[in-house]
Amino acid sequence: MRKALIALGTLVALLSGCVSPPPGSPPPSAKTDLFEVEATFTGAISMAGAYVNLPACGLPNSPKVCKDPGIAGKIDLAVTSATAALATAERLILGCTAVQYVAATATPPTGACGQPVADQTAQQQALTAVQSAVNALQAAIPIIQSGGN
Amino acid sequence: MLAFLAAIAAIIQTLTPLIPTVVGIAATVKELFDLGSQVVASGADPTHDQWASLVAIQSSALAQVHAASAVNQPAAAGA
Repeated sequence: MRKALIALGTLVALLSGCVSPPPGSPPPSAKTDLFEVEATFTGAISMAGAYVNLPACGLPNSPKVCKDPGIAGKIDLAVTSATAALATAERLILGCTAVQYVAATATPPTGACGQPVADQTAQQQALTAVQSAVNALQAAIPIIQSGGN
Repeated sequence: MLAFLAAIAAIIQTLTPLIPTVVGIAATVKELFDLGSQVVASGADPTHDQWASLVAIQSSALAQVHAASAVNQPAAAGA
């Protein structure tokens, strides 16, 4: 079971690094980069959700597989931080949140949604901040930490 | 020998409830990996359907984390 969890963690950690774009294609757009980092974030929070929903350790009836409440707290903070960084990147690159973007492109887009509201440098900085926050989240999850080494 | 078998049985009993969770995460990770692979391999911007799939998976995963946080808040406040 633990090996299965570690394998999952490794897969999440490698999620964005296994596929190459077609040869000769232009560099990926900020939207593509954002999509990749969002997918990695989503994999990480899936693992985080599994961990934080375990029963707490340290109680008389705690099972062998349990969560350390201190680690769960750190995961909570890391999820909040990554979510905030993602919201900023989404606003700069998509012009709105991803949820609004999906809703807007389902019908004719309205307002600035779908259009970047920052230059490429600011978009890259926002993506770098998201990547750092997602890395911090992955590092906070013990299972992923084990699998990544 | 029997004590050893009883210990193994206890471990299996502990881990068995986690199997659906692990299977669920594996399915989610595979879906995310397929989504990401399609986008990277196409070399084009993600489509509306790809964004919609990602947003749906992300909302569901975030809800799970937030549900646990909500349960933990009263305990943390009382500690």
